Amino acid sequence: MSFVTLQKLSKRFGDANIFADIDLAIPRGVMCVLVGPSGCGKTTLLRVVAGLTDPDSGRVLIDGQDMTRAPPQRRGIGMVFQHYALFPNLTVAQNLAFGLQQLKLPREEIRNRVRAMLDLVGLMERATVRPRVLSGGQRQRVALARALIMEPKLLLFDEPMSALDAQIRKRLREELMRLQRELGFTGLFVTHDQEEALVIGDQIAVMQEGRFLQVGTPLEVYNRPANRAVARFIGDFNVLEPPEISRVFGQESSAAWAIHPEAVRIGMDEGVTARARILAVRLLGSIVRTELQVAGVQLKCDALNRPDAVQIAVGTEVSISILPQNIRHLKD
Amino acid sequence: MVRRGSVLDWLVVTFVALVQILPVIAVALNAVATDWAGSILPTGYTWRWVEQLLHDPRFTVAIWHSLVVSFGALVIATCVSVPAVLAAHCYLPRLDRWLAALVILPYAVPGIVLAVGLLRLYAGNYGVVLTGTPWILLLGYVPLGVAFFYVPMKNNLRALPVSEFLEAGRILGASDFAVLRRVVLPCVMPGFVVGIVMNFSLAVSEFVYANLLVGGSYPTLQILMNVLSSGSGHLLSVLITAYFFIVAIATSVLLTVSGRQDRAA
Repeated sequence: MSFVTLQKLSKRFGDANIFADIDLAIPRGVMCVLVGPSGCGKTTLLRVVAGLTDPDSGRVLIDGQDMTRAPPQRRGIGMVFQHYALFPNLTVAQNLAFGLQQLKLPREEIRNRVRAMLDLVGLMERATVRPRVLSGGQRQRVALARALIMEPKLLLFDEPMSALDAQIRKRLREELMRLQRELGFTGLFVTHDQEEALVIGDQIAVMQEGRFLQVGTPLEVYNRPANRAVARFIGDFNVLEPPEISRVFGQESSAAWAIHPEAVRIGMDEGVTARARILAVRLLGSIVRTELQVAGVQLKCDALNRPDAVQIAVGTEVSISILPQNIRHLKD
Repeated sequence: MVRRGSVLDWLVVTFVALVQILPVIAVALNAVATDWAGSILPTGYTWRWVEQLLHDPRFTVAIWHSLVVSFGALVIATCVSVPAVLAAHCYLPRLDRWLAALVILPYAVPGIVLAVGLLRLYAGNYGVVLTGTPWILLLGYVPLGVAFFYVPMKNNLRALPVSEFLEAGRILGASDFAVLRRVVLPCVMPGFVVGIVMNFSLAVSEFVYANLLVGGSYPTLQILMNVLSSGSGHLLSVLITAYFFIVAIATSVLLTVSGRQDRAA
């Protein structure tokens, strides 16, 4: 049985339909990531789950209880905001203690829980400073700690890392995954970054224009996209329409093909093959991305950046091949 | 590293400070001068004028009246303005624009017109008779004081993500009131303190309303100043110097108390 259930949720703002008849089930202890382009309705959906925005229709069930009209205070949730929403006049420790004080817990218990949480997120030595002197990463850790200290049933994340630089994002992601492993909380994480979604999520819900295109594990969504939109958004697939397939590979197909960039191999002739011209070669860290052109169609090819790999000059004609099992046929 | 001020910088700043403080020093000197005419400094000094004013019963009455009216208006203006400014900013942003225009309205109308309006309002035409009592003056100062809270507090509020604070507080189990009291209000404390000082200074130094609304029936310091202005210049100087002291002491107390609250928050 799922821990969080969204049933037929709909929301409009004036004439704009944000989402309609949304269904989602999140099992206990799972980190579900809502991923989609800006304006697709994911943040509004998160706010509906939080109780900060009322849905027009549908139900929100948390741990079996109907929370659709319950105020946020009664939902047993925690939330990490995009811009932290830390209270600037309170110290780090006071920020953490704020929620516990609302529960009227004994001072000693509050002190102990704050100390334990500061220790967990590695901010013990910053307990007495105000948020303004902290770095972006430290602020986000305080925001996370402030949510976790309430021991919520469900933790919501509203693009919490979008304001951070790449290095800090990576470190925080790892820290978040460690905390989720240790504490086992259920999470709903909103992001527009597909890489972040794949790394953090146990379950991914791809959203576009107010509806879910696909819900599944990261591997399912990445390897078996349900349609063209998911293929383009999540896997950075090469998506070829039937006429393009015919032009590039000389084969007839009633469905579109989705091919991962890493499934395109240069200089091999196994599977379906074609002759391509190299347009550009770009280094993406451990990956080398080669942009190819075949019969007016552009393809992306990713390969490991091996030190012993032979550099191929731009403009060179090469043969490319794709194994049939690496071609995903898309009906939608 | 900050460059140290040059001699010219010091000269400019000292000149401005002197221009500001010289009239006050001149008034203070005149309060203890035996005679001061045709010379840079008084020819002799005496405490006679000070003693004469301190023994004048009108002086203590005027001080008491001014303090009652100033603190009274301050308390009412605080109770009315602060919740209104917060409520408009947090929950009624559309009405906030109207409030911004409304708070400066008393300054767009000549004081005498407003005073006549207040006299008509509180002369019993609507069942409330306050003419001749300090209440009419007190209620007359409140609309003037709202702007002094609204402008500086609004500037502080604009720099804060108040909606996010309220939402974060709700998720943490707090009521909006708790978030406003523990987070938002301490964050706008600098604006609040400016409002308090400005309100007090306005009420204690105001003459037009005091003269038209209560006049001799409830003489304040400004009314007494007006009376003394037709007599001895030395006595008037003592009164003005005393007024400066009262304003300085009251402002220091307000700043200290507000500063303590800010630090405690």
